[in-house]
Amino acid sequence: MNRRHFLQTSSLGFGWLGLSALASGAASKSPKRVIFLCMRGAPSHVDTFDYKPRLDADSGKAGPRPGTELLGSRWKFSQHGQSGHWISELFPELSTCADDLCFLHGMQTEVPAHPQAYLQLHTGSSQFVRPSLGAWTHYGLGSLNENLPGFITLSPPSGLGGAQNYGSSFLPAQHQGTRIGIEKRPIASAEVANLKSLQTAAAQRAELDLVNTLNRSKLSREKQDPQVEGLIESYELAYRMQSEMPGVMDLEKESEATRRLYGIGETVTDDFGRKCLLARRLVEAGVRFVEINHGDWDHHFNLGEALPASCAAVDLPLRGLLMDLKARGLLDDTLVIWGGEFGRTPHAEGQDGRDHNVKAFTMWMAGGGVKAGARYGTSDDYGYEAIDGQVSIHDWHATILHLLGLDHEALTYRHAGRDFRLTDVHGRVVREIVG
Amino acid sequence: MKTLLSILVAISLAFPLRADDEFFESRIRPVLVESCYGCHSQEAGKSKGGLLLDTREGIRTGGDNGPAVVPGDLEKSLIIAAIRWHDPDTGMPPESKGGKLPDAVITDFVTWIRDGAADPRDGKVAAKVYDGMSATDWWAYQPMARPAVPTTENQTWARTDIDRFILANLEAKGLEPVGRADTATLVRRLSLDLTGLPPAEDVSTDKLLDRLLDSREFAERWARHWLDVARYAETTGGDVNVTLPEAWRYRDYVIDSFHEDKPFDQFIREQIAGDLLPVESGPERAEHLIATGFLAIGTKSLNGTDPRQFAVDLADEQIDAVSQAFLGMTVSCARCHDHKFDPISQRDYTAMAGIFLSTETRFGTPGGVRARNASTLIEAPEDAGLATVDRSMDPEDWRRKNAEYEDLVAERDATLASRGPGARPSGPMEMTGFDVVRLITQTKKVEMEVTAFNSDGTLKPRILGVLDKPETAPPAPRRGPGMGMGGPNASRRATSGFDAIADSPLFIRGSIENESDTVPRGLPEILAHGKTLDIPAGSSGRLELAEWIASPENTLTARVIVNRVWHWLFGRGLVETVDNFGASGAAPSNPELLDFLAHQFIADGWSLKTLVRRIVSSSVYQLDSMHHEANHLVDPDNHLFWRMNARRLDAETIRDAMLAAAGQLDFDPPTGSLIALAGDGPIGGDRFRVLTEDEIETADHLHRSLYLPIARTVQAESLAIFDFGDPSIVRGARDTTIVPPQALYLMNSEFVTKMAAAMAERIMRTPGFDQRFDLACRLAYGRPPHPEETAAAKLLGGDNLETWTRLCRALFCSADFLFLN
Repeated sequence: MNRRHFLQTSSLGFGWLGLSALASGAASKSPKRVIFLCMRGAPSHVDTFDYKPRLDADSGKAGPRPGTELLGSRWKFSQHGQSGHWISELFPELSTCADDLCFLHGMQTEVPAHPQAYLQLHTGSSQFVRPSLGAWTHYGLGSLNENLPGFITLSPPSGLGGAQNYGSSFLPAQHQGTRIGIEKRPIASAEVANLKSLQTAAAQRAELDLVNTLNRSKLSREKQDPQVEGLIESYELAYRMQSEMPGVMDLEKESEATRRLYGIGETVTDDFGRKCLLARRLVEAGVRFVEINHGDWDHHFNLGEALPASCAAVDLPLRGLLMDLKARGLLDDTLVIWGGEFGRTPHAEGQDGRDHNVKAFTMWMAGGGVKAGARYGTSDDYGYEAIDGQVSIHDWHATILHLLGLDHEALTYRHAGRDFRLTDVHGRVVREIVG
Repeated sequence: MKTLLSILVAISLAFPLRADDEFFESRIRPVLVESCYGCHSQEAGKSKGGLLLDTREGIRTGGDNGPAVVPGDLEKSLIIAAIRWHDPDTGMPPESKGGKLPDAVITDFVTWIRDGAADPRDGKVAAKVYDGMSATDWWAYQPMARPAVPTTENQTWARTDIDRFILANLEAKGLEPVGRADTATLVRRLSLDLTGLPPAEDVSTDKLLDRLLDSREFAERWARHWLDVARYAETTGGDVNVTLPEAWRYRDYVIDSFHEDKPFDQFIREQIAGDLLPVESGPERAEHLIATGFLAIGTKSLNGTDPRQFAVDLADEQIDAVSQAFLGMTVSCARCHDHKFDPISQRDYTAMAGIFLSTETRFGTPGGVRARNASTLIEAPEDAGLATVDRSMDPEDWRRKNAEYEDLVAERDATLASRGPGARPSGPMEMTGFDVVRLITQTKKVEMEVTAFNSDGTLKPRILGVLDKPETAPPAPRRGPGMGMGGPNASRRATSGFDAIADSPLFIRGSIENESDTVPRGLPEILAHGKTLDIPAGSSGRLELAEWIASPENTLTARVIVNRVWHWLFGRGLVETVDNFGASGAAPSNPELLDFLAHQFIADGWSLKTLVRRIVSSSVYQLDSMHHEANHLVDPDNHLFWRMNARRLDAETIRDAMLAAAGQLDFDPPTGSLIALAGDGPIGGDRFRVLTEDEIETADHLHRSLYLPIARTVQAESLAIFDFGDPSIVRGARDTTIVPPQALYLMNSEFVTKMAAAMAERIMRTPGFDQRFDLACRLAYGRPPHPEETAAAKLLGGDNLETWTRLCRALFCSADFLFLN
């Protein structure tokens, strides 16, 4: 195995598939990265990004689901930017970036329960163990930096399918997401496993030199052994990761102004701000796919207090991330995706809550070849059901892969006797939002 | 295509016509040809959805879902809904074939059907064609041959008949086998392959093979191989990851079976139908019930709201596991449609599904917070004498809990009674749905604690397994308090509807909302070569299925297991796709040898130990793993076995070998596992969990690695990092990646350093650097050091504990430790 072959087959490989056969025809002039801001628990679309004046007007009347009562949004909406996007007052900071955002108002999923919907969002299937979106992306595109993993997930939940949500399933194991941190623990305390040497750099180098000598001695005895060559390379890469990874992880390297831009240091925004800044540093350093998990948006009750708190935690950091990416010229080839596993009902649950709604919800994208300032899809007058421009999770996956230059029908892997796809036998690219 | 359609659109707009034959010829047929025949015509050889559109009969008979065209009836003509794209998933033509047709063309179809669907095309529909059913001549479906042992030019190399088959293949390609491996290499290879442990530093070669085969360590090693095939795990995985605290009994059953060299056909019968086998004693009954744990340990999504969906998914998982584990077939591909590659129709699938839907799977999970689909476990026979893990409850606590449980049941039932389906919440507290869920969950949690223990506080021995369903359904439980979950996320129906032994309906496209006629329980027709199951009344048919699978006439079973054994000894099977013997899998590199081994295996009474003994006694197993340029040029991937494949050790072997070299390994098996000790409940999450994911990831003890807790979605770091893989999938072959996180683990983890330090202390009892290094290499590599290795080791400097710890860690990091030559 030569070095090139090794790089292609190692987790840090460049261009795992080469891709000429897979290119979807979408702009492939520059490498694409993804930051997926996953809002676990399902944010209420009718209180945030899907403006429904009829819902407010009819608040208290019977809802579309029998035996329910509509609950108007208590937050004011207004239009922003050239795009005229309607955004509620819960996102005062993000709304200044309205013209960068592209809304999908016709999102739909299948199962109104968190575990299934969360798995489907990440793997396309709530029923079977399948590779995750990030693993498929890394399988399709490889990594951009040989010193770093190609798919990193920040603070994933341990429930809701756990590691399946960033797993590689039947794809080769190197496409598995590398987890940093775990949900409900501050990201500030998170680290990469075994990255810290137990000895001084010089002592470790001497030890690795011995390992190297032992391995080369074996190699010379056996004349040729690609696996041993691969092993030798893996120690060198691991050694470099030790030196590069902590640097990438170190947010102290950022200026005070940048940290403030993300809301770091402020109690409300610190954790999500750190995740966003870390994500920017990771993609900037060449990580292909970074997912940030942030919860909890499951507002069955106490909507009036809990939803503003959830929004406040992310609002400023979201703006910071978009502005920072733009200022560094990274936004054009970084696809930023925001959304949860489903939406919430326009009718009330209890006095002050909203139930799960899979028939309509809103997600947004920015950067990475997306039509900025656009919106696609419409929910009905109450935001209960998508009536136009419906986008299923399979469609959403197909569109993301397309934006990355991958054809969701050609990106396959043979397992147990058939070719598998992220989108199974489904998926329609939402060409309307491709810039 | 675009042009043609635009011309048609232009015509349509210009000439509204009454539809007749000419209308068909000018407006309809061209569209069918352009946009539909590619997937729905005899010429293309495709009939997706069972639908052919290239004859009048085909279009009117339709496919799986019904007629595409019913003259005069737009509602019943499914083609209209399809081309109107009512459902984006089933809209036709699909996006990939050009997407939705122009509106004017759709209007033409409406006109055509409304006016009687004139269709001058003649011709009969050929018998339904699907690719898989034509694959009947695939080698794996043919009866096994009785190949004669070939003669070879080289008369001296071959020791056994296995060698003659291999050598004949090599000679045919002008290759010759490399030399025999040296003794040290062979002893290490044999020891690691057979027991998963390195040889002791002073191992004697006298009767080594006998001793290895007789050891419990052999059974542990080979049980772990089978546990991979059996997708063994101690949690459900799926949407809510709940523990299966009795699953370890199945693990130990497999170890015991390998230890006593239970005939493999009997091993099969016990796992599929142990509950239906005759027994003579309580312990035997318990053993057979535990064996059926094979069917109960699969991945489940317990949170689903529809018990009917849960039941068919469970049966599907069982069909998948049984067919892949024993037959190397992916029968569950035929759940929604006929198999794309193999002669397994959806009817065949449904025939097997009936057997499993007539089976009651008792997997437990009462403690799952969101486990809407929990079951009970099987109480062990009283005279079985089953061990239990070291858990007990204070009898006083038990009485208190039991009283609390009764109060909670009363409160829950009263609450649910006041909340009919769809009613607004009422009652004193105006409980939200969330509060109700909380109450139900609390009740379940206490119920789980109370039912796990006897009233004297001792743990009940219980079994995870299956039983046949009753012959007639018990009276349907009334929907009400205690049924399903109630509350906002109530289950959709009271039961699955599969409450007794019965045949299964065929579910069109696999959807439970779309039932067709029932299919008698039975075998895949072509795989069974016309054999049918004679299922007695009142029986699921599982026993008969097991007998068919474990029969010498089955063309797959013996071939699949001897191939797996070959894979576990050579790192590659004679058929490389060890879990897929279907037409999409690989053909055998040496079909005669495969059949020879399978015949011999059956003749030897399905004895795995005899099979292993035969293989490792061959010359081919004892070849060196050295590179050989001339051979390499002809057969670079060693398909023909001109040398032994060098292999990276698997996760368990790496960890066990470190424990052994360090002198830390505890050879005694533990009772149960960390998960068994933790009891019922979710892994991870924030409410009611019994273990955190972190506790699984960092799990450690000094026992062999196969006794580490095996959870789904999260594994012990020492296993996960070396490709332990996903225990949801049948996997006769593991990945062997070589990636930097493994290097980081070996360089920097606490465990490896701890082992290195213990090994350092051990070797420092020997005086002198050279002697110490000699011992270190024997422990890690099974051989003395080469002079250049000793020289390099000296360069690290020093002869103290710290240096020796670093030296030992370097040995663990090196290829000669991590690889098997």
